Amino acid sequence: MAKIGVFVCQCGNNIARTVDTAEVAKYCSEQDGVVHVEDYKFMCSAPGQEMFKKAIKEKGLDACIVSACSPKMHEATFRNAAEAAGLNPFKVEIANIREQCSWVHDDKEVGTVKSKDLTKMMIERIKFNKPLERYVMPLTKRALIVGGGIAGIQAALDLAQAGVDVHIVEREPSLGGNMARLSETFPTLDCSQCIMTPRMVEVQNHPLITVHAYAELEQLSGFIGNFRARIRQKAKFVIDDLCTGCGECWEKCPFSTESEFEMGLVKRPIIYIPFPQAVPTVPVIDKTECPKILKDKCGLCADVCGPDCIDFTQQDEIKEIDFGAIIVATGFQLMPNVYREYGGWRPPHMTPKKLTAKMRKALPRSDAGRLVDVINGLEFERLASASGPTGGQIRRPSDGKIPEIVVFIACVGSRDCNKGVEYCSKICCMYTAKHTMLYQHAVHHGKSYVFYMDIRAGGKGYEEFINRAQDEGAQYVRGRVSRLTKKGDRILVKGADTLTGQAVDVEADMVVLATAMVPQGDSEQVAQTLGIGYDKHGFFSEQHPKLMPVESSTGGIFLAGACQSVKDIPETVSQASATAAKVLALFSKDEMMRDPEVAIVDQEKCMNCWDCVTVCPYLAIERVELKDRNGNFRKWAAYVNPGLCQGCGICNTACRSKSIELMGYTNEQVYAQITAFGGDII
Amino acid sequence: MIEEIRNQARQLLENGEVDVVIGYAEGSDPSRTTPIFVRKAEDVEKLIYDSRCINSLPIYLNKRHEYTRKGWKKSAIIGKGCDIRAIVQLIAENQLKRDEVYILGVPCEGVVSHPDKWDGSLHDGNRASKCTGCDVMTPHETDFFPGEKPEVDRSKPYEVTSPKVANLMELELDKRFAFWRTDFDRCFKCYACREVCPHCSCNVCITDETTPSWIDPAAHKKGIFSWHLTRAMHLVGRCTGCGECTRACPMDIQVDLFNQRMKEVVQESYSYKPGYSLEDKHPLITYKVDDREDFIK
Repeated sequence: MAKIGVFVCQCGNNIARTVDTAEVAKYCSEQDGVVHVEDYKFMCSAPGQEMFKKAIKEKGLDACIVSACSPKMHEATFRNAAEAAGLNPFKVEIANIREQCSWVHDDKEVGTVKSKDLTKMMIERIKFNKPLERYVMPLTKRALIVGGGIAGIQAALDLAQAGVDVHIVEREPSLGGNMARLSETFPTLDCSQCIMTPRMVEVQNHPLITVHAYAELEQLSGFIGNFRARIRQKAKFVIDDLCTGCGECWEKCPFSTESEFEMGLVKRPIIYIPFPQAVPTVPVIDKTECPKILKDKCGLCADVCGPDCIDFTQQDEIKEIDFGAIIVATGFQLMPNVYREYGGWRPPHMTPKKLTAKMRKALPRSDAGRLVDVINGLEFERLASASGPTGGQIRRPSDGKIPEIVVFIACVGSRDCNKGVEYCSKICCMYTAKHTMLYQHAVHHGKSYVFYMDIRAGGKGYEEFINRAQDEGAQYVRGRVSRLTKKGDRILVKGADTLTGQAVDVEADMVVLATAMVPQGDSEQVAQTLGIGYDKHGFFSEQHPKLMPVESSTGGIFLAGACQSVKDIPETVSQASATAAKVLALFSKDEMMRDPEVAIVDQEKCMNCWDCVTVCPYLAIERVELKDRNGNFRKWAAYVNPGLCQGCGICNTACRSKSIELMGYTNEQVYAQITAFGGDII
Repeated sequence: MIEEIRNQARQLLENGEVDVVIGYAEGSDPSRTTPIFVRKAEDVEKLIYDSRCINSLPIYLNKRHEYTRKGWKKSAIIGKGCDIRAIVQLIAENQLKRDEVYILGVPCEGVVSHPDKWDGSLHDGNRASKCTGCDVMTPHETDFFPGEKPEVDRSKPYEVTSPKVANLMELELDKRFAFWRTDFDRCFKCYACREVCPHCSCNVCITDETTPSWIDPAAHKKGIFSWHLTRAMHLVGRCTGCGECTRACPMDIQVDLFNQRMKEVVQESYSYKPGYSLEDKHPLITYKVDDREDFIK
């Protein structure tokens, strides 16, 4: 005979308001197998848990029901308490009489009856609960970081300093990401490269960090603690170990193409490093442009290379490496095509879906249909950067003239439900203020205007920074811009000042758009490769918006930086360090415990239709051959890998022959639970 | 037509390509035919095919019937279109391998609904309802077909609504329930509907499970309803509509009305027709981004 204890919680007044808990406890004490009942104000409190443990020890209980809140809240609490008192934790079940009962009913009578039923169902169910043991799984103490921007660098350094072996996969030839492009950073106006490049060098020199530059994560299999990554090292056509980074090759290369790092403002050679401080300082050959690779002509770089490290026959290389945890730090891009798609630029919210021929004619053209002096924020960063194409002098792209009047337009693409994204891009107010300052500092007699919707400057020193920008000469105009047209060699900005209610026309030499931050173009594919969730914009989803903001929806995969939501540098760095802390917590043990609530297959009953294999979202089910004692093939059957199984139970439902049982939710348990509720169907 | 089939069957047996030819032979009275297992080449003369051949033979290919244990590695089978759909579905469900079966396709003009209705010819009065709108009268998946096989467009939805289903669906819910209550009153759970179904392939049927007994073994209303509803649910997206369950029922309960209705729902919801593709998985276990979601509220 079972010795069951039932613990009814009043949850202060949360449950007691609509459930007569004393009545429930009395009813439960009359049930078969129940030897102990309690009715207490807060079961989850320390005295409550003590009471729970004491009852288990003194009455020798072999199963416990806690009638309280959702198992999501305190199942773990009571299972741990039971374990401490010497009872198998899987012999503890929660009857949810709060979320599923007291909170949804007003009538105390109804609530009491329903609570009795819910608890009775659990009493009958727990009689079939078997003690389960947690699985012990091995743990690979090596972390993979996808993306080598500031988030990836920070996480890598934090982990490596704690003694963890770290690998960074970066698809560009150098670490650095978007932060490397910035000239100076708000709100202190310190030089971005000056604070970043030491970190990059530190990463390169750290003995525990391996950088896979110019490589991509192609496939990820496995599960928390035991991932296996397939990394494609793209052919650089340069032998890493031999290259000294002397620069002979890229200086001599006679061909060129648009530089991605410089946002297409200048050209770069075909064999290149993206920027002078690149880490690693090993150039790569752009195989889509190189005449030697395309048609076997030139090869000048190989001729001038001292250490003979150029190898035109190099192929992509696949590396398979095991990891225990993964940090995703793939970063952001600025919303593409806000102006390139259309003739002259119009803000996205003003752009009709289709341009008629007449409208197209009315739009001014220059340089393949766009106003070249309308640039986005990152392009301005390059113009203002001391290492940029103009050496830090702000010159406009069309004719190299120093612009006398610059218009900055905020909220381009962001906070725009119709043509852009609904969310606030958060950093644009700040970087626009910074841009006006950079401009004013470089061109003392220049005039800058900012067209804005609202100023959002929540952050340490941010409001002060905006005030400083205004003090230093930026004229803020509250209103949106309706269109930009070409007027002589200038751009006519037609806007409005909604504070005075007047139309404002400015003839500007250059226009800078504070374009919205959006996820990388292939973020959805990346999410699918990693098996993590993402939202409608392509940002990766966190497990819980408040309490688990750095965990992805998949165990062992963490999110850092702008791939999860729009962020500035301080936030990105804090989140990166947070992921490092999470990984360290995971790696603090030598083995991992896995919940035993996984599916198991009765292989004799299995009729190998493989429906379970088709439905399993975690690829946890394999097809195995069963052999007889002589080793001869007998039959096929499904096998669930307990390491991969997440206990979702989908296979269990799909299995027609009922050959799959989900431990902790077996057919017998569920059947007992349903029949305890009773009710004649017909 | 049958001569060509016999010749092919004879050749297959003589060359040892197949171990058995499963087909139809004359039955105990002129209105009936019986399944026959031809293992010697000289017996192929017994094979016949006409509109009286209603039995669905693929049931003999189902692993559950353990004919494979007889040492037959490869069987040839005479299949009309609807039976071949059942074979294809067995292959798609991994219950049979394509190279374990040699399909002798026959052109079909429809079959009688019941041997008792046979009066020497097939006409609208005695044609089985499943034959209306059939698009596999020229079978789709064959290894041998007598004569030229014409191209048939099978992309259109399969016609499933029989007048009986339509009539039943017009009834109010409680009337419909009353219909089944009376009809199921006769059921004594002989499980003939299960035994004759080519798609029931579990080693242990859910109704024979004892830990726990999901389906009450007794033939009272609860046991009967839970059996028939479970059977219908287990066949959603898999039933190819041979109608054998109804034909086999000794109490004349029209159990296939459930399956026909389910086929209709599956076709409307997922535009899926079972038994046409050797690879496709049925819609209840697959997910497509354009699947209907309007039932999630």
